[in-house]
Amino acid sequence: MIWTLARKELLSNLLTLRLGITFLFAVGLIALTSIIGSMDFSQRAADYDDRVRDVRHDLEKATVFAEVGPHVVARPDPLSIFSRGVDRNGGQFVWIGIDWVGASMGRLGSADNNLMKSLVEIDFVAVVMLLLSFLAVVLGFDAVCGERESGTLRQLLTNPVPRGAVIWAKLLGGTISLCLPLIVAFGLAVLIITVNPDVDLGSMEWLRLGLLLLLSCLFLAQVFAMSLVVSTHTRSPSTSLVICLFGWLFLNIGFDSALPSLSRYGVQENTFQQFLDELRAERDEAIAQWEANNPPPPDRYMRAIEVGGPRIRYGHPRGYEWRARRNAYALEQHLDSARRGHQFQMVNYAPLAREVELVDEWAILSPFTNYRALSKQLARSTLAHKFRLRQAGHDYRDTYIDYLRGHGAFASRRWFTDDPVDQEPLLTDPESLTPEMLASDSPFMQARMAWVQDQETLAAADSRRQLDLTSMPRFGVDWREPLSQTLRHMTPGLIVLFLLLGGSTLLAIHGFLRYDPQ
Amino acid sequence: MTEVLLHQLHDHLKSLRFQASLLALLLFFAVNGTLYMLKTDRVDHEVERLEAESSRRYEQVDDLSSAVSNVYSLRLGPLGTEFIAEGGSNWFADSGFVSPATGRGVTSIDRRGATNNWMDRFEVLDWALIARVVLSFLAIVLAYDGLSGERETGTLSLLLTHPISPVRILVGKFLAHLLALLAALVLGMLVSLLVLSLSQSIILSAEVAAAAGFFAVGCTLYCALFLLLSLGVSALARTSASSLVILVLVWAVLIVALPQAAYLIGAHAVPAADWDRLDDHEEEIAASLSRKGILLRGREKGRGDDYSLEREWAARMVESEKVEVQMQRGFQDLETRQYELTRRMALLSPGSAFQGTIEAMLGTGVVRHSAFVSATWQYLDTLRDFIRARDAADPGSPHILFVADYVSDQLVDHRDIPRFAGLDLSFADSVGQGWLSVSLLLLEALAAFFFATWAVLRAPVVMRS
Repeated sequence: MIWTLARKELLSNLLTLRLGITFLFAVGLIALTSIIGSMDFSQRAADYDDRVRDVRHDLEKATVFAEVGPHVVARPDPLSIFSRGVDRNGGQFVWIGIDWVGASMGRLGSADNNLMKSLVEIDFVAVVMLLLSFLAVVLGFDAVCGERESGTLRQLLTNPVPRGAVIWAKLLGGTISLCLPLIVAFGLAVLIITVNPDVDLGSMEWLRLGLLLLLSCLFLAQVFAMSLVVSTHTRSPSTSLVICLFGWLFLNIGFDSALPSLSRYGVQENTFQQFLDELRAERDEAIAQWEANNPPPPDRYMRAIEVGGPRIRYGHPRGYEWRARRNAYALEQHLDSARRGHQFQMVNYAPLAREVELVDEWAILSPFTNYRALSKQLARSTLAHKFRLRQAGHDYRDTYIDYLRGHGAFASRRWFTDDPVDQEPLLTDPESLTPEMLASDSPFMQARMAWVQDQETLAAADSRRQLDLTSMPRFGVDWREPLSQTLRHMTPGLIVLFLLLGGSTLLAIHGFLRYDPQ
Repeated sequence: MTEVLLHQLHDHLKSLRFQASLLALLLFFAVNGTLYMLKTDRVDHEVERLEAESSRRYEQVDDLSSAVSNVYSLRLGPLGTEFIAEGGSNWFADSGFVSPATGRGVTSIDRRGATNNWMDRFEVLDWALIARVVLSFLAIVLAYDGLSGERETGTLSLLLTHPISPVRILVGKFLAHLLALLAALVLGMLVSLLVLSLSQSIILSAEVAAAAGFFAVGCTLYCALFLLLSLGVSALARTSASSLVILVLVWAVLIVALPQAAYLIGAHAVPAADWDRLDDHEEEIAASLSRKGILLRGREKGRGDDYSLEREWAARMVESEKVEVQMQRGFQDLETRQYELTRRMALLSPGSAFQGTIEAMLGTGVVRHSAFVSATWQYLDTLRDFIRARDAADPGSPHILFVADYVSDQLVDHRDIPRFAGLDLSFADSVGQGWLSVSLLLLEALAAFFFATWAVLRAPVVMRS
């Protein structure tokens, strides 16, 4: 019985002009967002590969520990083509620094264009949220009161059909006619992105995509059921339409525009830089104090040649020994200030991160924004997910520092020089030199500089200078959120979705059972 | 015609639709007022801090050498009409940094005010957004059954038995809708202004009044466009319901979806600026000069051969600066072009034409940004002229221009340094920059009028069965 009625609903819906036009617009827009999203993804994948190659190259080239700057780089997520979220706004790699603030999040590829930040971009979820949800309203608003006005409802009810069956059939038929264009558009989008060789979808990604489709279907069913409620509680289709349209405008575009602005203006000024400056001043003070208590050997012992970056060569053993002792103290100071900086940053960033979180939390108040928040969680493009990478990077930094300590790197001359132990210094016997000989244009110094030139040629072919990093721990954690955890985070939103869907269905049935077909 | 108008107005004032529309507008404007009340407070603190920071940079200067090596900062403060049209001021650069030193003479512009890069891209609820999205939607909701409704109830044929032409009916209905909608809009604007002025977030000055006036003019055109379009479609459509569905669909695509889709095209059609190349070039030149032994030896040492190495260094740096300036201007241009292309693509939507018109009339948005970029370059010349004049007055100076330590030793009072006078963006200039939006909006409104007239003339008077 229900099936016959549902088929009738389906056929009458599918033949309407409204469905046809919306379908065409939706498919066109979704194809556009998928094609450009896929091109953009290739660009991001190329940026990722570039960065990984650079990091490897730097690691191979490093000959002193101070040069090793490991990175944790996140591969772009193909699911973000469907629901962009914050996937591109920073947080694609984590820079592991020693004297830096803990682990900071950066952005791959070229710098952001500030101008473009003021504009909004569309994605799959936005098209569903805007166009297909509107279609749901349009199919639902006159489903009952429209049939009353045209008289067909009375005709229908003269048949021996239970009223409950009629409303169930309407719900079913309406939902299926909404899901058909959705599935076609979704299939097209998936086809477009799988054609791209850079997109590599694992089984979990396919599962998440399937869930995204299911979520979208549920969302459309929910909007349809809500407009059916209005339709079963009003007499004339024009009243129903006005209520439905205003509801749609407020909950969808109105709420969506006001929400980020509302959370935005509560943000405190960022005092992080000031804190950092104070922290660094304190740290430098402590190091200067240590240097006052442990004066370096005379200047001539400290002479060395800087050969790019933090590397030096041809220093005197006494100078090296003092530098290593200083490093052992100074690097611990750096670590301590970086740790405190990181802690402060986490607290101080909280207002900014909180602002973003609030948008997602308050999203639950409207079925439309709730859908988008849920889809962002499924597509792993929320800020919370970025923070997982940051946490993983920070954990890796601890491992890396343990490795450095284990190798005595801080107190070793290997931190700043790749001179072999038997390397002759620039000034072999500093005490015997007169100040005239030490002047940079003296014949002695010029001869020594010529000697340095020769040594540099030898050094280029010296395998002893390579830094052995084979035992260095590599970053190998799968930091991405597992599906079970994603679903747990989605629970409140899903509960609201199901409550609204179920509640609307009940209300629609209740309204229809008492509906006067006259 | 007047009778049609009065009759329609009377109908409106007691209809559910109009009351709901009025309520919607009042609500949106009240939220707008509250948001900007909160924002102004934050922005005021921020402006104060950044102005102080900018002044400190000037106060560091004590002699001509430090005047050369100093980095000056130019501020682009808020206009005070952000609640009407934000014009990107949440994201666009608000500070320029200029150093007269040779080789560093490139200026950079940056944003120093608080932004949250983690925030999803979103639009700010300013008056322009309310008008662009809500007002156009309400115009459709009010007018979608303007003619089809009367046809359905049969009053249209009754109306046409009177000796008036269909075009007069159209004009009468159109004016009634326009008046009703504008009345609601003005009420909403007053609510927002009331909230803002009571909280002392704005001072009701002539500028604010003029901006609100411009906004109302833009809105009138924009409303007219949607009302005429709706009346035209309603004349042609078979039923009111299908008229509404077509109109809202067109609205959703044109006003909401299309500008967002334009982002995708604009962002990918213009390559991103590769700022790293600028740093690479700077490093390369510095390394090549030091390899060749062309160095700054210090004032005392260089005196021996009348600073021949230093002069050589400065000459090379001037050459390198030319390349860098060209590179940087190219990048700044690229960023603006990317944005402008996006906005041009979005102009397919009347909403973007409206937005562009409001931004042009208020002198905000990309027009202001571009003016600021060229002002920073002009300011660099002003600073250099000042230093050149001071240096020329001292015969004891080596006159190696814009190299710190190789100019005059004379002291400089930082109050004598020319300050950035602010942007001088005249109304004619900004409207001239935004001529495309303004003329498109005018043309679209005119086209909608012809469409509606045509539709009314060929529309069936009675319902086809």
